[in-house]
Amino acid sequence: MPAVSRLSPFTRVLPIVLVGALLIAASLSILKVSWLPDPEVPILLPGEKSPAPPGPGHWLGTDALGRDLLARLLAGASTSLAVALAATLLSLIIGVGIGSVAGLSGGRTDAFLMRVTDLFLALPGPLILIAVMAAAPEPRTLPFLGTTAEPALVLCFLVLGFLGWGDLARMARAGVLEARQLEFVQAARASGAGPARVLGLHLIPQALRPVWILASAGVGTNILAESWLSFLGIGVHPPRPSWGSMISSGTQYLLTEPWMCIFPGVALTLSVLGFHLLGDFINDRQAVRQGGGDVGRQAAAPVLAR
Amino acid sequence: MRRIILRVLSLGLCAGALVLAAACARAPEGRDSLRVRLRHEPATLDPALANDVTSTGVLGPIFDSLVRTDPETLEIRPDLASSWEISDDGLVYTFHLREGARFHHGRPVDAQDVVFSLTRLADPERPTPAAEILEPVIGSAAFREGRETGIEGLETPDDKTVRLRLEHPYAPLLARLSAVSASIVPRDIYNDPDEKYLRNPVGSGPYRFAEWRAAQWLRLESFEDYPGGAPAIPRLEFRVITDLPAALAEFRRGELDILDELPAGALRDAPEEFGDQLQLWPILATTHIIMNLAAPPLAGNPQLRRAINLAVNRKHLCEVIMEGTPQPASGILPPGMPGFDPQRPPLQEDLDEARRLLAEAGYANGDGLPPLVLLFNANPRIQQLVEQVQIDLARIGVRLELRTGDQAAFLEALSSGSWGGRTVHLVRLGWNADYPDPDAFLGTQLLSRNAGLAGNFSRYSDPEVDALIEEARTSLDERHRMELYRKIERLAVDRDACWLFLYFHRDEVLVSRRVRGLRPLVTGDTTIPFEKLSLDD
Repeated sequence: MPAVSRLSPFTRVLPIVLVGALLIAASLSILKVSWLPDPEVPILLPGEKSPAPPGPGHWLGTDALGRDLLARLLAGASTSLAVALAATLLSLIIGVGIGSVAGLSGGRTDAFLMRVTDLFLALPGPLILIAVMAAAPEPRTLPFLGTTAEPALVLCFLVLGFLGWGDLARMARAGVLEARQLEFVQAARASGAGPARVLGLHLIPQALRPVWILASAGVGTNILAESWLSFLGIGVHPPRPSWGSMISSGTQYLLTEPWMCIFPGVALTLSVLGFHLLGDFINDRQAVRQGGGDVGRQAAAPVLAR
Repeated sequence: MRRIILRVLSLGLCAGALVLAAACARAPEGRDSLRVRLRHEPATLDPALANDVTSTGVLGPIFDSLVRTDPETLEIRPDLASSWEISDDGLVYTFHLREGARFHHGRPVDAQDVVFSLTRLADPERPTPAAEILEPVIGSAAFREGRETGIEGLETPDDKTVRLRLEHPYAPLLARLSAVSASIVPRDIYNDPDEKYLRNPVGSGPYRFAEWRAAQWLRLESFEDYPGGAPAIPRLEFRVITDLPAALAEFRRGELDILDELPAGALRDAPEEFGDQLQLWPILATTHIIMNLAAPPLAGNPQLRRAINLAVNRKHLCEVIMEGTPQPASGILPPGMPGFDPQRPPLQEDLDEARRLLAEAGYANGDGLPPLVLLFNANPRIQQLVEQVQIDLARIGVRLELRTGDQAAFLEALSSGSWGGRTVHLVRLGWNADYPDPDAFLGTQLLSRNAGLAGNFSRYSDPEVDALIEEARTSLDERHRMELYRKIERLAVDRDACWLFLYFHRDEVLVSRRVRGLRPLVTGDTTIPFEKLSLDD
């Protein structure tokens, strides 16, 4: 099947719409726009029956404590996005660093770094995640960043980031190995470009192409991970909203007041879907540009062939 | 196409494996077992260590104590002791053991077992929460401090008689001896250094321990040799179902006979759906948030504590958040408990006064006050409760950080006062009276020498209150005692605001129609006398 035909309007537009909506939602709550109530303070008066169903004044209803569900949903978007982006960035830095060093140096260093990567890939991620989140002391201060207002949030992305770089390292290594053989890289080297120039201008950008795909899907996976940590009660702490904790408290009301559970659930699904589709979209774009097949799969081939 | 077939096949296999796994995990059951929901795993199966209602609820049917509290009327009734005499000066208690009482492994219960079981509570090498029961007995202090190898005041005139000699009169003694923690255990099994009894409890109660599948269920079987005959229900099954909506679904399907609580949101429609299966019992229990009085900023700052108490809207909490089940607290003692003062009004919300007191405490508008760490045990409904308290306190500028953990870690943090290396300032606590005497609340939780594990988790310490508690314990005049307890309550609540008082409970229980003979219990659903119940077919 030629790759070009996969770039249907659906795959082109949907990821942009979904990820864009998430970004807008997150920024709305960060900017604290005036029409949005405070997600941590009830909008119902004391004594008023809560949870209130969707209606005027609270378009998505309220939660059991009378807090506006829409405001909490948007604030939850910023929580999810902050944790997922920071974690993915951290994974990218570690993964690309280790992968490209391994791919460039080869030999023993390569073998050693790849075994370390294997070790990280073999770790039972969810289990370690739970153990660390439940047991680790919360960081009160961070180097370079000073005192943190959200220790749990920071811990969450640190743990996710440190556990999630294995695949990225493999992909980066494969990309570097492959890119080294490409003609334009060799041409650059032949025309007298120094190692730094070759690496920075030609090798890394080429090697990173498949990595972006994986990283994009990784953001989705991290959003999901943050949600289930908060669902289990060991993610971000109340009163800060997280989709996971909203779903968790909503499940109690699933049969009587389902909106508390459904809205955050739908938001979570769409966001994860959005980032996965974005990965596909990047893949297809690169395939079109290269006129080749499936870049991600090609790049992964050397790893699989070993 | 082949890939699709493969996928469908593998999906089917997975589903099959899941169904199989679920079928294997299912507890053996039948029409002849009574199935009771447990909200979490019991923290211990050793009655001497049991300090939470889940553990005592499971252990109660396995063990007998010397006497028992009638769960409906709060009267003290015979249990292992068929009769007893108390000397006129209140210093000598003589118990006569019931004829024919046997342990589950066959041996008759004798006086030495009683001495062993009670001595065990005060063992200096293995501290138990119930050690305080023996405090008035002659020689218990010497034993606890390791100066003696036995307790002098515990005597066995013959095989079937036990005598307790006290240093001073002790009014709550009988009530305290009725607690599950004062259970009588067979000495030949419970002095095992390998501690096998921790997984295989052996008692003399109407039910014997049969099997425990960790985190799934715990099965008890009726004890044939129980004096007065084996109980009518041959099997009790305690099923650990943490998830409350799932437990409710089980009840609806008829897979559970007794459900100990209802999920949020379900109570409103429950009367219509469940009819007479829904029971609401006023019980001897309170919910409050204890304050760490050993650490700043709550230590030595009654204005701050009073400000916190004034900032909570208990009416809203009870009527909306807890759906009308509990009633706002007026203090420490719940209605129904002897000594309860019906004249005390429920504690009120007063934000202006709270702000004024906060400023007086040195933290105007909360400036300079660090966030207070509040620990609660993981449960969605309790989370709602503490989040509401967090919202309420934020109105006067007191910030809370909410932290949660599993039950065992929670109990550990409760007695140590710290959590993951950080000081815990506040802990959400439900307190059920384990014996029907105001001492179960005021003595256990306020006496300064009970600090920590023994029940005074907030480490409250006041010489005047200490003296009043001791006086109330040693007085044999009931009316005078109750006056003393009211005075203690006034000091602890109105003067010191020692905790954040929230509400008095009503127990919401769902009981299936096949259960016969269950009446409202003042001591709650963890004290159900299973041996008196029967099942319809």
